[in-house]
Amino acid sequence: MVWWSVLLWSLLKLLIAVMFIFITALVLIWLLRKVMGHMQYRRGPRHHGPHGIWQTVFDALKLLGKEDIVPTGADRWTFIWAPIIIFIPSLMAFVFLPFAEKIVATNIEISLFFVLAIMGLSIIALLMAGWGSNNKYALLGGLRSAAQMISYEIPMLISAMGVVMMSGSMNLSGIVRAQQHIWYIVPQIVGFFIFFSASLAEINSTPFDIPEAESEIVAGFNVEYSGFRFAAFFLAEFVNLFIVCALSVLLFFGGWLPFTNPVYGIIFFLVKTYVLIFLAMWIRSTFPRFRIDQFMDFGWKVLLPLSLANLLVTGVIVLIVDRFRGV
Amino acid sequence: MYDETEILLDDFPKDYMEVNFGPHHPSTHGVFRFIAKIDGERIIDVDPVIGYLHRGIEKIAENRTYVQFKPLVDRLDYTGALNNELCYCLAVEKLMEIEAPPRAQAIRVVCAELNRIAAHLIFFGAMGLETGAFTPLLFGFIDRETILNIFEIMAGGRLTFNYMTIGGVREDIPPTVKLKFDKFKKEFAVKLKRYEELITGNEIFVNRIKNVGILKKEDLFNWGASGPTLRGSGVKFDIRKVEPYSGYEKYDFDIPVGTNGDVLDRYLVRMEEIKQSMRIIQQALESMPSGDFIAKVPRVIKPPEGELYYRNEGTKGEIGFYIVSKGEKNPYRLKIRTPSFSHINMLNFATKGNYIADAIVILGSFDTVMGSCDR
Amino acid sequence: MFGIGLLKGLKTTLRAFFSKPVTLLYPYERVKIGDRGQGLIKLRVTSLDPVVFRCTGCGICEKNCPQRCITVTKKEGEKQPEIYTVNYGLCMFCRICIDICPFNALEQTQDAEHIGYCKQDFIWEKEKLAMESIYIVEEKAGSAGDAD
Repeated sequence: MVWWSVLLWSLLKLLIAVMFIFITALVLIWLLRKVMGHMQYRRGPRHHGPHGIWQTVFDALKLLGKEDIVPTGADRWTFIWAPIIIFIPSLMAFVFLPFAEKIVATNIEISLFFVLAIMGLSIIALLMAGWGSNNKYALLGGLRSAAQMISYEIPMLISAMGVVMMSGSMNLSGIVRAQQHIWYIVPQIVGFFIFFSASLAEINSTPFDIPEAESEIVAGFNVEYSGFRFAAFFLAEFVNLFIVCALSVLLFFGGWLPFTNPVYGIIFFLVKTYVLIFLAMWIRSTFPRFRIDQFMDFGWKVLLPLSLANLLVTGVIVLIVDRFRGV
Repeated sequence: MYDETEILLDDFPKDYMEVNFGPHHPSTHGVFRFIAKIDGERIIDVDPVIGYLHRGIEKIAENRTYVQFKPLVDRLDYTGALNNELCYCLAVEKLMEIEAPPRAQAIRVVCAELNRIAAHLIFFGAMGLETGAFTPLLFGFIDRETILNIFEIMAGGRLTFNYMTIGGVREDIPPTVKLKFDKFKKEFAVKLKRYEELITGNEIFVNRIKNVGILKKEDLFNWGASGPTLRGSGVKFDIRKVEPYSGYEKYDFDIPVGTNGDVLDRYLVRMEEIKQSMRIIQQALESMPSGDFIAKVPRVIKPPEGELYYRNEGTKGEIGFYIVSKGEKNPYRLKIRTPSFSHINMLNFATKGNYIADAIVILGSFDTVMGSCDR
Repeated sequence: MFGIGLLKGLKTTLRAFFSKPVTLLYPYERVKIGDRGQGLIKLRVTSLDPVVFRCTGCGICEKNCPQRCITVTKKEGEKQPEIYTVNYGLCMFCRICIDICPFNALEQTQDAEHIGYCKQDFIWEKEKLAMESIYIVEEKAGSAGDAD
């Protein structure tokens, strides 16, 4: 009778992962409003609950109660399935993230490779949203976002390869274990800069938020979405932010080290992730956004050569060090 | 950039996509609509549609007396309302050949320059918003709050005042204005430095607006531009120096002028104008003569027959009033010349061949207010 | 170097993050409006019980209002207005009526917070114009009226 216990155990892990995702998304939205508010000399939400922590819950409930509109002439199938498909990569990437030593939903040998590959699937959802809305603004936004995501995938992957070369494995827990002597931020600082910028571009956050540029094309691809479909896009953006920051912490900041105790490990890992999330929000409230051609230039002419150079130098140094150690 | 589009149009007849940037839009300043024909990301043609805020002010003027019409003049360019009032009061005073006493003239200069700073702070915030940064908007409004508090002590209102009258001002200014202005001056010097750090020194922002929307002198003369839009292209023309009014010849200030004529120059011209305005207000408050604040004006205002065009330097450009009077209590015809009307019509030739994002930034650099354009 | 301006911008926002916010918690805290603030325009009374207005019902304010929002009538031979209504839905608070009244019968208050559910709520009669304001404004030491 082993198969049904395995099934039950997997379902339980899935349920915990989904709950964690939704609670994280709600907390992150509240955190963004508070942090951005304080950086602009004002308070954020403060009415519902102490310091306004129930504000996002009430907002989500309000959005649930709105009318369900599908515009005339819209492609029904693509329009309805786009907000559902945008959650799939986030959910799937989530089950592979380790939170502490041996605390991971599923552990496979090539988990980093799988996570980075799955994150690329969210392009499809944005294109579906842009096309299915039967709206010129949405089409412009969808096309821009597709171009952006495709161009910034490559530097992200190549800069992660530097870490893989130094640690010798593609398993996320293995990468963290290999950082016991020194966190990879120190030798790979250029790699961290490239990875962080490219991943901010992947999740459409300022200064790369052209697909939802509010002042020009009024919310881009999600201009025709209302009610809970809009909430789905909104939540998915914040879940992606968490995943990307968690990946950066695992690859460059040593994950849960130096604590190997599971409870302290999880807490310290979450603390580090939230520090990086604060950095992303800090950047979001300060910088204006790039223009479309400038930021294609930045992706292809600056980040890509830098990441290739980073890979070359890391490879040479790793080879020399291994030869020196006689491995 | 011009040449490329011309060749495309001649050789390959294409179907361009028409996008409507409707009256509800977060970044067209007010209710303004334009229909753009775009090819991918580049703009081929722009057709502005105005009139969503038309209130018929010029027609109302024919049924109101000169004194009753004065509060409505505030509502033209509502970001810098006292400059409109100044122009109207000076125009009627010139028709009636009354001159305001020196103290009233100094008070009027203080009001007009403070309003200029407030309007340029809105421009600063809106410029940040066009390029995508949310924070400068709030920084601009926080500093504007101090200025509006000074106005509340002085004139009674924050956005529309009805403070100046034909012959002077309505009430004398209380002595706390000078103390509050000194305090504001000290704090604002620090804040201006922070604005430079946040926006003017930011490389992303500068790359967005450098070499974008270059306008040449001859085109600007043809389209009737004025104010900082004209001064950004190298033309040193300011009505406060050319035809001084209300005692401006007594004060010592410079006129900032740009060199290239792109959006960055227009932005820097306005930022520098804020500093020059602070100088003027400091001189005016220090050297304010004592005396009456209103001249002897007849009880019923009935200018003699004649017509007059009077202009002054508003916050966005040249505001002009053309008054035709037939010797009665109501004006026979009152025409208002506003800078935003001329600038919005420049949008077509200024944005040809640019990206959509640049078109929004160029519109922001003209600094138009729809209340002024539609009247 | 390329990134220096960006880092300075980040420093500005971080400084703002650790500063005290400048906003007030409306409606629990309010700003004191200065003496000349534009609020409702009310009739001066020389005694409250019985109500005796300074206004004699001459109608000059009615003729001079740009928005035509005042209505005044009076009976022959009396020195008080019979009907005096102001439509605050139309009034733009320009204060021409105060300046032009020969008897100084109008006064500007700082009372500016009123709500109504229909247009009739904004038409104020003679008796209401002589009363005190309905809302008592709690003052917080704020900006406008301070003598620094």
